[in-house]
Amino acid sequence: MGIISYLANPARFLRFSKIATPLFGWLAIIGLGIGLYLSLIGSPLEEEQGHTVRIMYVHVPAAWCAMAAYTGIALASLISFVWRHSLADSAARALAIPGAVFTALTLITGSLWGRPDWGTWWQWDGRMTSVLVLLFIYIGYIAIWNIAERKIAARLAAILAMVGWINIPIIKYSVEWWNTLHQPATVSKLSAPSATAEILWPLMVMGLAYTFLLGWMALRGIEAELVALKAARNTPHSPATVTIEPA
Amino acid sequence: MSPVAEIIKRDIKLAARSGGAWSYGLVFMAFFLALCAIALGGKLQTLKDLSIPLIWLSILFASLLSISHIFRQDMEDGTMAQFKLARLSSMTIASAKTLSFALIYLLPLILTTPIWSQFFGLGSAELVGLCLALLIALPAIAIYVAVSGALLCAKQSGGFLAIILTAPLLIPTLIFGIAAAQNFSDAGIAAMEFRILAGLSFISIAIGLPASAAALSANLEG
Amino acid sequence: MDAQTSYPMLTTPFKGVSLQASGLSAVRGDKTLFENVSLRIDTPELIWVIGPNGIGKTTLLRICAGLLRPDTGHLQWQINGAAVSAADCISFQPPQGFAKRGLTLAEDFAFWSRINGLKQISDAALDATNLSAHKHTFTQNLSTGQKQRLGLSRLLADQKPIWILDEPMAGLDTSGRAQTAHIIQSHIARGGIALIASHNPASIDNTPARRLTLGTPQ
Repeated sequence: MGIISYLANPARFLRFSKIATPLFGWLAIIGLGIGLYLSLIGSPLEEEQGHTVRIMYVHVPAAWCAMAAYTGIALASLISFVWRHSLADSAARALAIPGAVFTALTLITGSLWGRPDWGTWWQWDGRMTSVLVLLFIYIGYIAIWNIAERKIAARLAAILAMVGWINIPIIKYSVEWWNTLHQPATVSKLSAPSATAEILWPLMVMGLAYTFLLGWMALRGIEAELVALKAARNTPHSPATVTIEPA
Repeated sequence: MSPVAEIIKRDIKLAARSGGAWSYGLVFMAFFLALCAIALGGKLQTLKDLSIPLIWLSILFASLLSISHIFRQDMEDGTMAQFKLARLSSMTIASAKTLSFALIYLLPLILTTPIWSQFFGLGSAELVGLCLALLIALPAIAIYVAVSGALLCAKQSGGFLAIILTAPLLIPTLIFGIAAAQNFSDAGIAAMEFRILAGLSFISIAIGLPASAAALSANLEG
Repeated sequence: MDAQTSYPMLTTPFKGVSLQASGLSAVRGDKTLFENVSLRIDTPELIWVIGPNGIGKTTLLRICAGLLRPDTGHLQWQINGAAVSAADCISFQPPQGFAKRGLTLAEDFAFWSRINGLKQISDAALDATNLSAHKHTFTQNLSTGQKQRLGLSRLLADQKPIWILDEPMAGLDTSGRAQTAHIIQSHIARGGIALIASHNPASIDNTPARRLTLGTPQ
């Protein structure tokens, strides 16, 4: 809680982000450079899947970021709901679009990875279906920000994010149960090859790089929102004059 | 009488005088199911297998059609503000309005299911299973639709958004509701699916009612 | 019609009623409606809230009724010198009231009497506002004046010491205005407080009053 209440002041946050944002950006670029080299060139081929396995290095970190971004939204929403911190609203809102993009990326890379194995672009695989539902939740969350003025919309969005967060494990369990009920056993699941150091290293570097990228996008989003809020406050509009006098 | 009972009584009276607004969901259900049957070729043998999922879907969509009746009218004409000044908590208001929504707009859909099921050649054991599953899932359906209704109650038109917000929350209920209905003839009411469905309804009460109440307060207080 | 004689409960005096607002401000979207409004009402008094449309009168009234959360500032309501919640002391009337379409006047009145936990549903409040003849009229068929009078009869029945009224005189003829003025006068005389938004403040005899004007900024 210490760091959160420290950063809740916009001026302090801007001082923090002035250093943190470029740092995250550069770490993401360097991480992606090393990670892509390791995963696309440095890592070994897999016996059964061949080059296809390399999609894993862009797919798994995207899925991690999709989930991490939603967790961040739910956490920021809880803070905003209980303590009414405006900056927590900005943080939740800034994570939404990057989160949705990572979710879509997870679906696209999952589809590409599964194509040779499945013979189709899509299977109602338990994990893929859960990610699709997560994308629906993201779309609802992004849409609700536009239904009212910021103050009210932020509160409604926070409520929706928390309800969604509690429901995600229930949805995931339901979809996986449903999947075992309906899918013939012959459809193989997307499966990562057994974890050896040669695979783990590129995966961890890519995971870190994606996380820095998510952090960079979120920080940029918060900065943009703070600038927009400040501009709105500075537009020339003065409040009504108030006089109280005997009738 | 408690305020909850007063509000439900008033809502039933208003629905009876509303020129049939309570029946729009039923009309939608009839059209939707008839079009499905026609689109699928009309062979009873094919339709029978699909009847349970289709009736479930028609009920979910029909319930979303009545979403503006839950909170929006009371919000617009100032009733909600007076409830607050009459010491009713948001939780009481949300519970009362969700209950009256379930009774007026959802229950008729479930009670007429035996009629629609005949268009699909559904057997009597399957029909009993379907109705039981729907009744057990009724709290979850009502509450999650009400959550969207409360989030959107200050907005003039929110039908499109209502589908996006409600659909993910209802997926578990849909999955286990259909499975429970399909499994009823084999495993009966003691089937695991029925127990999970009841659990989902309880969870919806614990999550959904406070969420509706909080959304109402947010829309009312600014 | 004399409300005081036909509705005797209106004479039971209120004691120690006060409304204290300090530093209220309200922001709607990007717009600051008003800032740092402080108002202290310690004695029975009528406050007219005046200003052009859209300046924030309704927002100020709803904040004072505890219905909207102010962006800054603090509110306190008191009875007998002790702080109470808004629901304990406030009657709030939006413009044109809040009668429910589809209910008759008597049904609507009885519904709110029961919701407010009033022990008996008193016909006297409807009599006092000359509405007894319209009991079975659906509320959507009431005239503007009748709707305003229904609002007054609710105020009489609720017996709350602080009245917050948004345009209670709009659409009334001369005798309707006189009746409203008389009921408000009786309320202040028994120790109550009234906060009234109006385009056209009437002068009410023997009633201490102030004007709170929200003006267009220069």
